[in-house]
Amino acid sequence: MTPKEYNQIVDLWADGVYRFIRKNLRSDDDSHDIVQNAFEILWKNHENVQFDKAKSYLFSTAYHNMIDHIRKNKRMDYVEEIDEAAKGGTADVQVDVKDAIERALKKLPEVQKNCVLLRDYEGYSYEEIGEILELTESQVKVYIFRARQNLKEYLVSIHHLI
Amino acid sequence: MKITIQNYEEWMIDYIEGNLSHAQEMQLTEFLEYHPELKAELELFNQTKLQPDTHVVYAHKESLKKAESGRVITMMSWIKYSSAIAALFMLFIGVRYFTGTSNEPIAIKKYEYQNTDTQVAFDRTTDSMQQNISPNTKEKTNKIYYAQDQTPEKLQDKKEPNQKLKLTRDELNPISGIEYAQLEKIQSHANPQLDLKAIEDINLNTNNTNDLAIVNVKDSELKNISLNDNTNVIDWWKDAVAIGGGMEQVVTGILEYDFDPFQKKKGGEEVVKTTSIHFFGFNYYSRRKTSN
Repeated sequence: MTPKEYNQIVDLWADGVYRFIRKNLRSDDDSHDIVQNAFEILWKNHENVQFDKAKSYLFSTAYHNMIDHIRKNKRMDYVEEIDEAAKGGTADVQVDVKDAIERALKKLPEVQKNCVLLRDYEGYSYEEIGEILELTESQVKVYIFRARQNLKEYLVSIHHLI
Repeated sequence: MKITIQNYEEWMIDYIEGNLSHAQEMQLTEFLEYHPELKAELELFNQTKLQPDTHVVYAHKESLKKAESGRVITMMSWIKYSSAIAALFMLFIGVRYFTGTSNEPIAIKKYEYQNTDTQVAFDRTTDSMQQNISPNTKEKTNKIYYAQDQTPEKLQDKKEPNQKLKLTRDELNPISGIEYAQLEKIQSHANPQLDLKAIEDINLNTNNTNDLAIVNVKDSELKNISLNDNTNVIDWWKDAVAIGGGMEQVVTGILEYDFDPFQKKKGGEEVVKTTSIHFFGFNYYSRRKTSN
């Protein structure tokens, strides 16, 4: 991959990978740092990474950076989740479907959430998602199936409340 | 697999995932006609499709970008290209030299006997090879032998082209000169009428290795040898490539040489240091190992 192609990757996928990371982390700064670090790694290896593989390489690198970050900051994130849950408990039920999905998404197990994020946000195939998240294709399909079932159940429960 | 009340969720998810064929979609539609209460459930599954929030963007894209001006050529490639150009230039000069007019000096001016200090020069004015005795072989001057039917006086008189000895490329290489083995063969038996096969058949007197060869060769014959034989061009090309390769090795050796006199004192880990220069729209990168 040439420097020019690398810059094209920045234009094409910086937003996408940032959205993907941002859905998993609550901090803008942390998400920003992880994306920046992923691009630095991509640049260091740009001569060995083909242009058509660069997107998967970028998402995979960012995902693993994020996992490391979450492990290191597990305690802090846990506290934030409690705060968030406390807020949710007292807040009014959101009628807007989009907000409801966002809430439901936060409740999904990480692996289900990441599978469905990569599928819907980036349009990745099951195979590509498997490469990024280090899962088999059939595992990805099962996780997406369960994720949609869970999301639907959450929407059903919201409708019942309304 | 047929759609049933037990597995319809799987079908619905496959539908919104885009995994169903047209026929399978028709089956699902038909199924929903029989179970209209499930249409709302399909709508809920549709809502689980996430839409990216396009307002969330990475704000510092420009800081991630790298310089991309010019073409990237490594220094080693640059040396190879330069060497190839230099070799081609030398080849061109060589061709011009050998294809010049008859007034220009021909390439073969001087030959030297192998294993002797006796030099033989090709004299264009007389179309003959003449002896040039080096100082340390003066004592050998009285050992000169001439062909049986020729004396120096006769040679002066004989200038007819018909008497020129025909030599082919094997005997007269335009780059390396006349092969000395052949000169030795004909040195004391030089007969202008002999062809090469005849020369080869001559039983040599090996005691005469220090003797003068009398060889008459026309300029035109020399040029014919040089120009009309494609094998010679290939030889020149091979020579040019070899010269280019040699130049590359020399320049590479210079670049890889570390001029830092304090390198040993510094110690530390060895790292690959990359430097780059911008020149005429090209970025030249030089990588070499150095110590921290």
